[in-house]
Amino acid sequence: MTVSFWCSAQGLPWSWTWRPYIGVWLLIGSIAGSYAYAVLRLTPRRFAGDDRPTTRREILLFGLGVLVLWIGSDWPIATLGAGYLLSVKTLQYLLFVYVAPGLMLLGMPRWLLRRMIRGRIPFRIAKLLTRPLIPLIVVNGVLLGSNLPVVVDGIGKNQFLVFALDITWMLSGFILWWPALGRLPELNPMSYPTRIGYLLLNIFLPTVPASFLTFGQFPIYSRYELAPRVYNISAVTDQQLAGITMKVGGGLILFSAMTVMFFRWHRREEARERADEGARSDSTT
Amino acid sequence: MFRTAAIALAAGLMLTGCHGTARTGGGRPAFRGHVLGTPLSKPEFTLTATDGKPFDFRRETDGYLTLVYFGYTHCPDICPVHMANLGAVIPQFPPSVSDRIKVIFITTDPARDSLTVLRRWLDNFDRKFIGLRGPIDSVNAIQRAMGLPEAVIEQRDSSGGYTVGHSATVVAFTPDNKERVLYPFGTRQEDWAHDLPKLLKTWPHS
Repeated sequence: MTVSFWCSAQGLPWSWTWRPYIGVWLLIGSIAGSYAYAVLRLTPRRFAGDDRPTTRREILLFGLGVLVLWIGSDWPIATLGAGYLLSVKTLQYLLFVYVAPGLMLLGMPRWLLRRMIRGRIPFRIAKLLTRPLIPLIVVNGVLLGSNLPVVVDGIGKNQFLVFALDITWMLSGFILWWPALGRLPELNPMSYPTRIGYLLLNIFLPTVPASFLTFGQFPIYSRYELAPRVYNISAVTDQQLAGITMKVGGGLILFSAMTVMFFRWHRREEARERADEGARSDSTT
Repeated sequence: MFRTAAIALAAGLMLTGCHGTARTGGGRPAFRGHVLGTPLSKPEFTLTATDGKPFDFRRETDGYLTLVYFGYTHCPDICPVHMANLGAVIPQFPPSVSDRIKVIFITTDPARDSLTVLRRWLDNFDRKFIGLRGPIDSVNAIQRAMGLPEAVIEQRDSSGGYTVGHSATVVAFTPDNKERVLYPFGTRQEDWAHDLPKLLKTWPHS
C-alpha cells in the first residue's frame, strides 16, 4: 500500500482499495487539536460584553465542520475527485467552501474569534473581510481560477499542488462565510438584508463555470476525459453532473443560509417593534 | 500500463516513419493526429466479426474512413477511454459524416475475449462498432503490417489474470484506402470532432 502526503491523480484504474493520506490526518488532527486546546486551556476565567463560555452547540458545530473537512479531503472522495470524476471534485469544492468553513465559524466562540484577531493587522484584515466586495472578488476569483483547464489539467498529478489548491478552497470558504455570519459586532457586520444580497450574488456568479460544465459539448478537462472510467460514467455525463452539483448543490446550501437569515431578521424586527410599542405604552401611562 | 503504452506508441511511430503533425500555412495543425509522411496501403486480412461471420477487412471498409484499434476488453485504462471518446463523438456528426466512418476493434486477447464478450463490451460504447477476433499470430501480423508493435502478455497475477501490453494508437485509414494518420492515447473528443470530417474531405474515395 502506498502512503502519500495528499491525494493526486495516479492514472490507475479505480478500485475501492483504501489509500492513506498522511497530510490529511495531520491537517485534521492539528485543526481539531488546536480547537480542543483553545477550549480547554485558553478559555478566559471572566467574560466581558457578549462573550460567554463555549457551548455544547458550538463544539458540535465545529466538530461537524471538521468532520466534513475530513470526509472531503480523505479517501474515497478526494481520490475520486483528484483523478477520476469531476463531479466528485465539485462535491469536494462544496464541502470545502460552502459547508465546512461555515460550520467551523459558527462553532468558534466569540472570545476565541476575538483572541484570533487581537493584533492590529489581524483586526484590520478581519474588518476588511467583513465588507462584501473583497470576499466576493476572492471567493469567485478562486472558483473561476481553479476551474480553468490549465489549472485543473496542470495540477493533476502533483500532490503538493493539489494540497495547495485544497487549502486555497478552504480559506476561500472562510472568506465567504466571514461577512455572511457577521459574528463580531465590533466589526460592524452587514445588515441581514445586505447579507442575503451578498449570498444571492454568490449563487449567481458560479452560474458561469457551472453553465460551461453543464452545456459543454465535449469534456473540458483532459484530466477527467482521459482518466480510467468509473462505472462506465462517460466524461460528458460526469461533467454535466459537476455543473449541476455546483449550481444546484451550492445554490441550495446558500439559499438555506439565506432563509435562516431572513427569519432571524424577521424575528429581530418583530422584537424591536414589540420593544418600541412597549416603550410607547410606558411613556403614555 | 501508461508507460508501456507510451513506449508502444513511440515504437509504432518509429516503425511507421511518422513525420509528425501536419500543419497548414498559418502554423495551425491541419490535423490533431500524427500524419504519416508516407501513407501505407490498407492491408488485406479476414478475421471473425462478433456476429460469427468472416470479415474481409479490405472489402468491408472500402471507401470508408476506418479507425482501427487493437486492444482487449479487460484493459483497465486506455482501451475504454479511446472507445468511449469515439463513441461519444461519432454520433454527434450528421449522418453524411457518421455513416461514412467505421470503428474496428481487434482484440489482442482472443483467449478471454470471446465474440460474445467482445460484442457486449463494445455495446457499452456504440452498437455500430465492429469487433474482430482471430488467432493472436494473425492479429500480430496485422499489427506489423500497420506499423504497430505486437501485443505481449505482461503481468500474471496469482489468480491467473494478466494484462496485455499493446499499442495505444488508433490507426486512421482514409476513404482512399490509405493508412494516413495515427491517434495516440491522449487524443481528445474535440480532436476527433476536428479531424474526422476533415479526413473524409481531404482524402475521399478515389
